[in-house]
Amino acid sequence: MSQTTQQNDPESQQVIVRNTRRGLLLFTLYTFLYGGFVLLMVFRFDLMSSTTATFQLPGQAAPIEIFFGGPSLAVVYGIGLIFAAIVLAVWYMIAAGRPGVRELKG
Amino acid sequence: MLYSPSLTAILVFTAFVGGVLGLSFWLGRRAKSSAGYFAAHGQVPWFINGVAFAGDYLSAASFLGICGMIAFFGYDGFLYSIGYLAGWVVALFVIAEPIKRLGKFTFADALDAKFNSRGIRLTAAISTLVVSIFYLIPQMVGAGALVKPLLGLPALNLGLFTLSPFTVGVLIVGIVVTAIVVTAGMVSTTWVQFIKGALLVLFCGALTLMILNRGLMTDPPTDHGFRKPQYIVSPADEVTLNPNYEILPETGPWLGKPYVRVKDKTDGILRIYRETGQINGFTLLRPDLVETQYSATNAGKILINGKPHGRGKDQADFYPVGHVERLPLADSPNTPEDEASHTGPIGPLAYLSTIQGSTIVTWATDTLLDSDGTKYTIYYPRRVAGADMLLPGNHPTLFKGVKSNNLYDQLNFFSLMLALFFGTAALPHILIRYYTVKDASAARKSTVVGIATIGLFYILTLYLGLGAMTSGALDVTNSNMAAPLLARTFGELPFAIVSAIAFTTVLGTVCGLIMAASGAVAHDLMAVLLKRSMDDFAKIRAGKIVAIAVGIIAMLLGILFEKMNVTFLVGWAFNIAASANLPALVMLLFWRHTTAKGIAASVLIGMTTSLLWIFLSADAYVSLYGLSAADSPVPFNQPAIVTVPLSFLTLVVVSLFTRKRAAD
Repeated sequence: MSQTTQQNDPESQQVIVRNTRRGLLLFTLYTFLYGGFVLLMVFRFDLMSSTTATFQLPGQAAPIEIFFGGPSLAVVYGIGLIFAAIVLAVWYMIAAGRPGVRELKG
Repeated sequence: MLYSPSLTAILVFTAFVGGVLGLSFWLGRRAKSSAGYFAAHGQVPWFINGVAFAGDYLSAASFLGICGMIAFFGYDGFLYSIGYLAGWVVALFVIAEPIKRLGKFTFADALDAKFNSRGIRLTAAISTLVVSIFYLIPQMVGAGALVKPLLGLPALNLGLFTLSPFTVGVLIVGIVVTAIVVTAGMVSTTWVQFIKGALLVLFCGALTLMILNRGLMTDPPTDHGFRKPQYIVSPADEVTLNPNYEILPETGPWLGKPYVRVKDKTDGILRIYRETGQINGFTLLRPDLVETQYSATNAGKILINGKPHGRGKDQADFYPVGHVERLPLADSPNTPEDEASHTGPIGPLAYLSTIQGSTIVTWATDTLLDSDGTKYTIYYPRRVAGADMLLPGNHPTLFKGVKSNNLYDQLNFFSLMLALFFGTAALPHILIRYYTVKDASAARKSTVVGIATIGLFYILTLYLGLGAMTSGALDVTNSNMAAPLLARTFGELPFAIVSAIAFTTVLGTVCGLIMAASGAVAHDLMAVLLKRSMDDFAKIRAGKIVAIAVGIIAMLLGILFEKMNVTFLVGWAFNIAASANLPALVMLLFWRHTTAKGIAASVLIGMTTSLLWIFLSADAYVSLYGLSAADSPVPFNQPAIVTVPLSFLTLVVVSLFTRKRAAD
């Protein structure tokens, strides 16, 4: 049988707890991004299919127009979700490897 | 569509497979223990394991299936990419490290790490087997569908009976994979996955650059038989041109359908035209008619576009399709005529914007059973705005819920996106790969490498799919061939390489699945359930025997399910994994009142309810039993939105009921 790896895990309990909490936070954030995407698709398909979005802020006379760069919001948001996953994952990996604050303080 | 066997393809293909097998034998000599066989000694470096994750995960469904779906239906295919990748986020942030800290070899190990319960091991092992088989079938079907046109394999006549080219393809895959798995287990599958993952990304990257360099054009190359479908204003014009043509009346099943049949009286050849519903610019009152491609099957005899299937004289074959009819350049009054038809090399964002503004000719399928028993499968072109192809809803059934106001359609859409989101982290052949690295930190890093590789790959497949859509290379009868056929427009060598990579794609995934399944049986079911304590050698031997058995079952099922749509078989696997495995995993890791019985119940309920739902769904009724969709008792096809919460609930309720009272 292989050895269980708990004893061999070089990360301290504090670091593990911190990373776990961070992981769950990032998961929640991504769930909102993903959920937003799915909900917009179903309930605001018109917005997802347009290449620009127009907002009218209360104080302003002229509406603000956001241009999504050419393709529709659906395409941009979809590609954005993929990039977001990569960025969040890489950040998590780099941050997780750093020693905990308490360890630094000694 | 017929494919001629390409010598280049066969050579490259043989070199790839030979190289992979050779590597497998060489590495196999190192796997001396069950730790080596099942988990590669836990010593795979994290970067290798990360790319191997990608190689494992990017199966035929991902590469060929998604490319094909994007090529024919646009954004619908991309939705799968988004869902699949989101699932990896769940794996990284919630599952990866905790599960590494728990267990030894398999998913059942992890669930059972705290309890030592036969119930858990039994249900988890069965769940692993079920999910692995559901995932294996589409891979084998994909393999069979791939190998036949790639190698131009003929049927194999064994005297007593004949094996179809599809069957030969399935057998080749099955035998090669079983050989790999039996000789070296996880070590070689890891290296196969790594090589495959790296090759996939590198080559698809190269292909994407070639696509961007070519740009978009309204006249794709014609060297493989591409031609644009002919539009006519009225069949009456055809008859005027040639008195031998006769228009057949709309009788029987043809009544009310948008087709016009024109028969040549001299040779009896039938042409079918379809009303486009669009008004011809010059004669505003009469709609355009466009030629279709069709196959007519009657009692085993097949006619393509009216002639027997073949490449010879008086024979016909399908011609490749898919092109841009009009570029946005043509809208600008300042663009000279010749520039309006070709964009030249463009960047990735411009590529998408150009498609957004173009009109694309894409092809759809319709079937019709004539009163004389002939079954017609009609492939017809449609002019679609590029903007619409870049939105979901083009596929006839899959993502209807997006634009529909029907509650059940919407629930179906949410359910599929949920299944994809939760399913990845619960796939047994992915989970097993957490045990091939050293520790939790390596598990984390390898998952991140996996995510980056897979994410990059999915962006590339978007371009591959769009490129295939517009390069005049698609086979109307088979969307799985979109990616290889696109490569072929750049030359025989790219075609050969992509085909070989596609084949190793199937090899890699099937290896991983068989490993997971053989681990489930040998390590979990046998060793624990039969209360037999096996020594290391016996465990490996059991693992290899099971691998052979599973390999044979997979081959048989692949042959049986030839006609099934691979994408929704994979969707089923995700639904089952998300319902059976994920709730138990998550609650075990994060809720301390989870009990052994709670876990076993959750896995069991999740698995059986999702299976039951699937087999009662409209999709199954139509594709598996040949019945009408209206007979199905369940309101929508994808069970996840019901069965995942149900599984969580089961776990909570049963755990609370079976909680051990602390010293009362």
